[in-house]
Amino acid sequence: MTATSSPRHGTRTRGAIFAPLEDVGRAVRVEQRLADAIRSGVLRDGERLPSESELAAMLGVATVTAREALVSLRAQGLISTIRGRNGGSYVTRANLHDPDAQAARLAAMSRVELHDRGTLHLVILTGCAELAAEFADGADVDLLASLLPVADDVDPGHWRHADAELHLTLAALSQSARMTRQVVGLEADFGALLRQPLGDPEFQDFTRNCHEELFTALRAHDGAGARGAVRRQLAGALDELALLHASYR
Amino acid sequence: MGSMLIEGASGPASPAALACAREVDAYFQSVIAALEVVRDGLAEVCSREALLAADLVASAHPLTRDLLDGLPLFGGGFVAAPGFLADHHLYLAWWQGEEQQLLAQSAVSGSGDPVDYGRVEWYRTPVESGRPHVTGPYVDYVCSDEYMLTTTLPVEVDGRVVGVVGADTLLDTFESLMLGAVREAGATVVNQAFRVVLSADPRVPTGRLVAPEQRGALIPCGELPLSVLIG
Repeated sequence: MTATSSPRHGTRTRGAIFAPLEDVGRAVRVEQRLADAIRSGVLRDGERLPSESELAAMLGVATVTAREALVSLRAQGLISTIRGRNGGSYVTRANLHDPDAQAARLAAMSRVELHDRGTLHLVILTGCAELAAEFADGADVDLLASLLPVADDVDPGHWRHADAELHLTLAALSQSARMTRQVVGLEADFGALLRQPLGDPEFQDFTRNCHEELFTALRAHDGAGARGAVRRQLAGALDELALLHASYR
Repeated sequence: MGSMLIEGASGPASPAALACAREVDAYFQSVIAALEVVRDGLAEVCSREALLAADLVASAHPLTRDLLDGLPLFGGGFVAAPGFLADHHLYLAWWQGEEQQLLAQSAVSGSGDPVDYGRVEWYRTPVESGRPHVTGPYVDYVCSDEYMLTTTLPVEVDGRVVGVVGADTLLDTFESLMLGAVREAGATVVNQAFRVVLSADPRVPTGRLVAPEQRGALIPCGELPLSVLIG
């Protein structure tokens, strides 16, 4: 192949690379950065965010872009805005654990969006499971297994925390820091919703069963088995979430 | 096939392989020595009754700054034993990154609840053994979200473990420090689980487990849980 023929390929890709950064895209990035920080607890509940103009200056974006990001965070229930002398935007992280706030967030999604998010989560985590089966040693699997709540624990909070940490640990077993950061981002974005079904003890049993299948596969270095176990668990969670979603709309 | 442990210069160990083991050991010994300074510097504050996080941070910060200035580390500090501090059940007086940011607390993404680090290897192993430990290679999702080798030492006050002092070395850094010696030796540095830390063979990635049938002779890197695998 000659050098002159190469521009024919991937012209669109090259165009996208050198296109100016849209402020639309920037608003989403500002929003995601702040949302991650709130969901992961870096920004604390009740903390006052910088003003629109301060935020714009700090992040190097237009004021209108910062405003757009804040509007979206407000719509997600992650911040609340108070007007007046002591006004400003405050982190309302408590909503993360508030079933009403989660229900409102779920209800605001389309069926297409829910499926879209679920697909990304499923593909990445099943991939992590397959890699983890190659890389994990016995001690790694023991640590994973120790994260599961004890047999008669039906506390939804315990289950949601355990399941979230299990998925992060699984991602870390891929031995890829970038992969792990992807999963951290996915978890911050979608984890709280994905774990709504874990309030149901029957679904907790199902989840335990899938995780134990995963541990067995990891111990046997069985990549296909590990992938299958995570797929079964996430597909189950996404089905439950779809039913919940349908009940809100 | 089991692996053979080589002591000293006997057997098939080449001078280059022995030098590689010494170099790995020397690097971590320098980290351990620097951590001992932090540990000793914290002895007074850690012996106070009902210690508060702010007081711990005030003592640990200058010690950690010196630690991070002296060695090619990504981060370091003191991690409190669960329940040791009066005002936080879990707390990491830990500074990391280019701007040496304080970590303080670490939450699980997705649930927002704090990570209980009491069961992870870099905390548990030195506390249980009473000795320095090197954890990794592993992706550290508690502190840095980076691929890491973490050196930790237990901190005891009056026979009670009050936490660990530790320092993070990026695998990137370890690679740049040790690749020459590893290539020279034609060897692979592995941890106690036979996980590859760095290999002379470019096709063998860091993090892979060496299959039992491929385990040749081992040269221990001093007392560390690391060895140089040859043959």
